[in-house]
Amino acid sequence: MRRLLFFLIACMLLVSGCQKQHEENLKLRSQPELHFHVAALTGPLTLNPVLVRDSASAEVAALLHTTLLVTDPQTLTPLPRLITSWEYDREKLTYLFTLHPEAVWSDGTPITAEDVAFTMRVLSHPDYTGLLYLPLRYVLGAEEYKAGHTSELADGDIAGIRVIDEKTLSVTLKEPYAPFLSLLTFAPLPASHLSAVKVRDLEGHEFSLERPVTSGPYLLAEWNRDEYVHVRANPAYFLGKPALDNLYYRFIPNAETQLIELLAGKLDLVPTAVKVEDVAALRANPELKVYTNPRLVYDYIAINSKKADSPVGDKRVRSALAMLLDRKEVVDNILLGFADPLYGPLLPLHFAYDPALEKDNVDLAEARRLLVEAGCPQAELRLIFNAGNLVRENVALLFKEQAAKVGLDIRVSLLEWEAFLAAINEGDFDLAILGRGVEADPDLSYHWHSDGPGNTYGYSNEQVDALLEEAAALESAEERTRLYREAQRLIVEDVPAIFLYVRQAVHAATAELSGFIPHPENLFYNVHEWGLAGEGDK
Amino acid sequence: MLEVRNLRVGFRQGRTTFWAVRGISFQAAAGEVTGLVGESGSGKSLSALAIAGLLPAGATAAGEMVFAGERYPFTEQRLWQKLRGRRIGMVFQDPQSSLNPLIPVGKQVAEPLRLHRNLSLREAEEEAKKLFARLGINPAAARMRQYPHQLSGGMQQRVLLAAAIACRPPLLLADEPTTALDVTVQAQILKLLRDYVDREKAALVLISHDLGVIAQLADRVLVMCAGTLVETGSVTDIMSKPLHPYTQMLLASLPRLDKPLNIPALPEEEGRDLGGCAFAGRCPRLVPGCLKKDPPLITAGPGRAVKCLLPF
Amino acid sequence: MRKILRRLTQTAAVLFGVSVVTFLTMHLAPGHPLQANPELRLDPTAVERWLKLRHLDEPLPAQYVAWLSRVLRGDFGESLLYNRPVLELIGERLPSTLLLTLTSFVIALLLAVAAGTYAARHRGSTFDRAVDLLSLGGISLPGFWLGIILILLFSYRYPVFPAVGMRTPGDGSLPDILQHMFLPLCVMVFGGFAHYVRHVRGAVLAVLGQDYVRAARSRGLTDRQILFLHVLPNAALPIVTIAALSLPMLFTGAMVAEQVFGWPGLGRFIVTSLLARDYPVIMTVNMYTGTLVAAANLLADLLYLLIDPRLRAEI
Repeated sequence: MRRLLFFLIACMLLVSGCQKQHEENLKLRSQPELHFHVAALTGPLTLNPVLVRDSASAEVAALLHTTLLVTDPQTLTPLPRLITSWEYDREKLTYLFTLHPEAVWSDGTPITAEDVAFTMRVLSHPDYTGLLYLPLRYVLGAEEYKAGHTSELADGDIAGIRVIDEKTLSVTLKEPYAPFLSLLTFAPLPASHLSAVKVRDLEGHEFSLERPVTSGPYLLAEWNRDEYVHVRANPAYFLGKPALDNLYYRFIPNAETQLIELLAGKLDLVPTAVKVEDVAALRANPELKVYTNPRLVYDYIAINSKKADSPVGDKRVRSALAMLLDRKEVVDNILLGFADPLYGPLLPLHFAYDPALEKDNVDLAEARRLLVEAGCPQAELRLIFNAGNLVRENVALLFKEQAAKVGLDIRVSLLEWEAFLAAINEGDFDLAILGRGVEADPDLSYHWHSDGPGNTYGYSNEQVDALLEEAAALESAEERTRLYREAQRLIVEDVPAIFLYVRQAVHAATAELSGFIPHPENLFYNVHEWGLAGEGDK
Repeated sequence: MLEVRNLRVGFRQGRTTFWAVRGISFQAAAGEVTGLVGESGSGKSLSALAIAGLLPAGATAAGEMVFAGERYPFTEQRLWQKLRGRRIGMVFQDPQSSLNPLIPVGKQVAEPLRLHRNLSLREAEEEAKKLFARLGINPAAARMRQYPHQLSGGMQQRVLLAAAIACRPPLLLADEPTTALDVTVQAQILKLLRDYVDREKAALVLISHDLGVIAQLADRVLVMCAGTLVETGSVTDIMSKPLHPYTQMLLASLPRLDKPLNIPALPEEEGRDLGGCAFAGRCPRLVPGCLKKDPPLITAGPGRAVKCLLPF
Repeated sequence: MRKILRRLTQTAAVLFGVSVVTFLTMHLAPGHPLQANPELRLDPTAVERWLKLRHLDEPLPAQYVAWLSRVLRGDFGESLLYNRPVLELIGERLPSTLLLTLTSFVIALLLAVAAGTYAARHRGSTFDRAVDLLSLGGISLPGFWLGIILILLFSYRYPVFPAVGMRTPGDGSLPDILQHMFLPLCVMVFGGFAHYVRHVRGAVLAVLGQDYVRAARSRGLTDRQILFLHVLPNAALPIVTIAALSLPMLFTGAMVAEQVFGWPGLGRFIVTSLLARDYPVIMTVNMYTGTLVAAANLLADLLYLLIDPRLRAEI
């Protein structure tokens, strides 16, 4: 027994000894190189930037690929990236895009206008199953291409897309559409490698799974399926070789373990998964730095006004419901301040946001009066939300408590994710706490136009429809702002939903990290500018 | 050959010790069969286990035995390690459960041979085969390879006996060796035991509740009641002229082999704590003196002793 | 032999039943693979297209028949989530899974046999009571909690062992992997040990009370010889049962260790696939586990035959 124990201990010492030596070797060899470790909860499913459906794939795609345009992290307005400049011909509804002259694929060939045109054909192809068709809907001929293209390849032509020369592309819209540029945040595909691939085969193609030809700040070195993606700085990146030579995107499914690894110095950046309860402790640590930024996702209480014989069909009842919660209190007490209260359908980041809406009119007496007036002083309402979200659970309980004060009986039911989705889809609820992602452009049509694809609960206001249609066709930000503010006011008045808050993303990183600008949509927005202050000892 | 002096076996119960064997002394001579008879619970099996050094964990023993001229205090059970198998063999009551079901019987018999006589596997098995043949386990070679469940009860008991006598121990203990067997087989086993005693001039201590078995095989008889020896003598004396009322009762119940002994049962603790005769609670000849103290063992002729105030 | 054949047919029938039930429950439950994230702006035509390309828009019986005929030809299909052959996905995760589960199983079982036997032979001793306490702890302590404690202690407070993953990125040498393995192994060995040791102790105790052990003692065998020749082989029967029953779990991974320590194993993969409604993966995993359970039972039966001659007689 004792001999065995001794043997085990000896083995362990030997192993750790070897390891030390190994580490030293590694260190020696890699002295001049910088290594940077980023945590992720899961690994990517695809490396193909146009087939991304999950956040991990999106983040890895952002490392490997480069988008046509990016949005400004502060104002969400479009900024040049692969497209370095553009001209807009109002008469012809045509954009003339110029690509970066030095932009090259990882195989050394230049990124051309044909690549971009090809990518747009892929997105419009009837067999394309990704999420990026949205911007193409406004391109002349794209709808016809989607409906009528018979080849399985993304060949042929879309009427509105024309390659002028190697680095110049013109895109003609079918109608004026101001948000168009803000939607060009997708990355192109290399036409020379993929033009002979059937669009339906793209998901399983080696380009998507093993050997991508890329254009981004980093090149794929190794994808260890369940552990990490290792990428190396792209020396030919057209915005300059990134300073961090090696970046490891490591999948650590447990948020607690991520933090421990960060504290132990084995991770350099824990994005998004940081819990607000931990922030105080992390801020106190001189070796770490905490970053926050608002996200493009907000939480709201959906009101199912379509549901037959539900009192929430009555606008007075909805108004009364909107008077119950003090959003500032919710943000301060439940989210510890790591959120912004939300009063309308646009976020404070949007240029057309209306600060005038920012007031909580908690008025229980008025709410009571409205309920009585609506003839349902004692209604019973079903409020659903998904299990596992503590913040939403607390909001639900607070809401129930407040509603009880005005005589409403809120039946709170916590549902497992699938059951929750089913209840949402079947309309089996009066109220539901949900999250919703919004676009960078303030265009509200997707959710609030009568015909909007995301208009799930049948909101319809002709005035709003007219305002949104008019605003989308305008170029001037001032004029659009005016119209969107009017639309916001109308929507808030109609109370189709109770807006709650926009949560902040909280990131924790080593204090040595420099140049990191948290972006609401894209963690690696400016990864090529990141550096490590204490260079050399990593 | 063997002399047991004041053997006591008890079990600790909390802070007190309950003595199941309360100080017995006897001798067993070489070439002789000593029968130890008594009803179940009288302590005869425990006595045998103590002599074989096989007391269960939790049992404590006191006294000593002298075996082949050497003293073995019962408190030092580890001394028995060199005796078991080599100098003392033991046969048990239930042959079926006393054989390891997973091992061929030949191997089980060869085990002590290899161990104690340093024989090779082949030599040991050769030796075991001879033993099998001698004990009538035929055909020996085939039987060797069989497993316990493939043998009849009588064959199993022969195997067990073969294993016990493999190293030709001068002392053999047989604890109810025939109780589990039917009558014809019983006689065969008893004969094999007798043969061994005669052949090896060994001492055999035969434990049985059955006076019939004792009468067939024993030379001398020890009658045990409630942890003490109440009467000893030659088998003819005991069978023809039992002196102790307990022996007489045992004999009286003899014809009805299949029925429980016709002796009133007694809660075990009771009689013992009184300090009187062990049989007092059930004795038809009870006199006041019986309850006061344990009657002395009195000599009642050559090689004959009885522990009773009114022996007749 | 006929028994084994009958067993195989039974297994096939059971697997068939399992496949039908899995298929139905899976498809009748609400949701489908592309619906997992409602915040995604899915183009409804793209969803239709996606379903059509994968024949998920066909009636269920047709889908099932198509699945079955492909499986009978050895084709388990492609994952909807990863767009790669299911067998490939399982295959590439199996070695890391087995490395952890098999190692921990062997260590836990050996420790349990040693400690359980010792405890049984010294019943009521301090060691026995310590083992009892330890095993109670192992059964009642959540592995998740223990994992976090170990990480805090040995990766953070005293950084001796890495907390996460199977290898240092770019390394992956044997010592590197062994180091990464240590903490998850501790958690799993502890849990396994706690479970097995009770059974071992019970089994050994039962055998120690048997007449043949006393008989063997009477023949002068030493305690050690009795232990190895008589006690352990007889105590092996119940232990083999327990061990065989845990075999399927070895092949499906260790959820807790994989979750806490980010070990790249099958458990996490299976749960992800379940949550994502990755039908081909779920079906294959079900067949896979079903086969494993059947195989483990068969293995247990064969081991019984090997150990116990009484059972051999019944064939």
